[in-house]
Amino acid sequence: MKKAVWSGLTAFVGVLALASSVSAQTTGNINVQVNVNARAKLSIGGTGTITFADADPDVVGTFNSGPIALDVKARTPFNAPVSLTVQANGDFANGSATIDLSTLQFTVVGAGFQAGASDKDNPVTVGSWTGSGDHTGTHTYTLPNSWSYATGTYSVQLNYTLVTP
Amino acid sequence: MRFRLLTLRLALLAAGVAALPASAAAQRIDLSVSPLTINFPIADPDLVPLVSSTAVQITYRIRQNDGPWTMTVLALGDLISGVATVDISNVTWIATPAPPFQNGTLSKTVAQRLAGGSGSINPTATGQVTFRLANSWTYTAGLYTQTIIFTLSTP
Amino acid sequence: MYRPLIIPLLALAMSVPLAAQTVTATLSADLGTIAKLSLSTTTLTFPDADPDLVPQVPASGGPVAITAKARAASGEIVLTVLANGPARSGVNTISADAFTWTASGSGFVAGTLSSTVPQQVASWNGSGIHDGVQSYLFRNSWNYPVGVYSMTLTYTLTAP
Repeated sequence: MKKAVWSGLTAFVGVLALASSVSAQTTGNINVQVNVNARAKLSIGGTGTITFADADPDVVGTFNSGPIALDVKARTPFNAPVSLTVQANGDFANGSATIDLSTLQFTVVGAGFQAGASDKDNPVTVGSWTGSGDHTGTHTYTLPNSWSYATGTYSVQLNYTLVTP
Repeated sequence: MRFRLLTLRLALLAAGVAALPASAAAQRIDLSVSPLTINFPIADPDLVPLVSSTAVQITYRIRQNDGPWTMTVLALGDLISGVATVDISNVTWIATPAPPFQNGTLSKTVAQRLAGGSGSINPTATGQVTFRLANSWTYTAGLYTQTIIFTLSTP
Repeated sequence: MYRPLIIPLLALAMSVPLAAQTVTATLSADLGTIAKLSLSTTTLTFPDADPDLVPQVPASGGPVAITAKARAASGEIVLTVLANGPARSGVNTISADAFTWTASGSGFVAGTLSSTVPQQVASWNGSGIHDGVQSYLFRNSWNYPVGVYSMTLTYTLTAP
């Protein structure tokens, strides 16, 4: 009987090894911007009022306010000047009676702070610095006591100014 | 008398055998596939969710055939790279011309019909098959391979 | 008597063998190592703020959403970030370590920027897609000179 079947097996086997990556790396960028603007802040300790209570000049020769905290904060351009000044708004007066304003003086503690005497005509430097920073210190007012003062309540307003560019 | 009857019947039976279709006695099937290594290139799954293989040309001829014919494809397992596997059902194909070719999905258990028809195919006919692999970020990296078997047959 | 002879002859006449031919081919799929990184933004801006009120300034625009996709063979997939230097405004600088971040998402960790050593943002084992969020903070100070400072962060995703 004739065979009715053709059968053939043809096998071609080959493996193509494509080059796969041994490792992979990818990157991405983010641009960062930080805005630092000029700003200034002044903090003065206490209640905002300095009171020298009446005292016997022979006992209390000099009135002393005690230390009053100062905190000067400023962000400025690089190496820009920063100054804190104080100026009286008039005489140290009680009606028509006055006490020499220049005898109302202050001493200071803290880097950049400097002592001075009150003045109504010109701002008096309390402290000066260069560039941004946070500066803390204290200042203490003194006033000589005297038998020559006319009785009364003397007052003056001291205005502080923080100057930054 | 009995002897004559015996001889006659045997002769008739022999004629019946001799009367079988000539095609069954002389069927010839030719099949070739090119290329024999079917490559899927590396691709970004986000950009190429279905990676197409190199086009595969199927060349076939069936002579002296009066009945149906079938072409199938069977994978011998999943795609394998070391201990990592990708299920072979992630490989599908599209084929032309349709008919006789048809699209499908590879299987490692049941030979899948790739083409079919009836009668002889002479002269040689061709078809094109493009396999497609479902791409994914979750596959373990590697070079995966598997053997597939094309079979052209007539019952 | 001749009947038994017919049966085997008929059986012979009815058997028709299958005709078939096979060809073996090989599928070869290159599922090589690949990595892709997506960042929800290309800019981070920190607005000016009073250092007393806002000691840690968050970036405007909110957190950075990160999607890391990697197909790896084995080993750890790592995402790092490196600043290209201090934040700079002319001659003035703010150190990179003034910037920190918190993070959420599987594999993500908090950290502090550096301009010398890449800092790990996240790590994972095995292929996949990983989503997370970074929220940056800038350490505010009265000491910074006025200016608009800038620097660039480079994220690097590495898959073994």
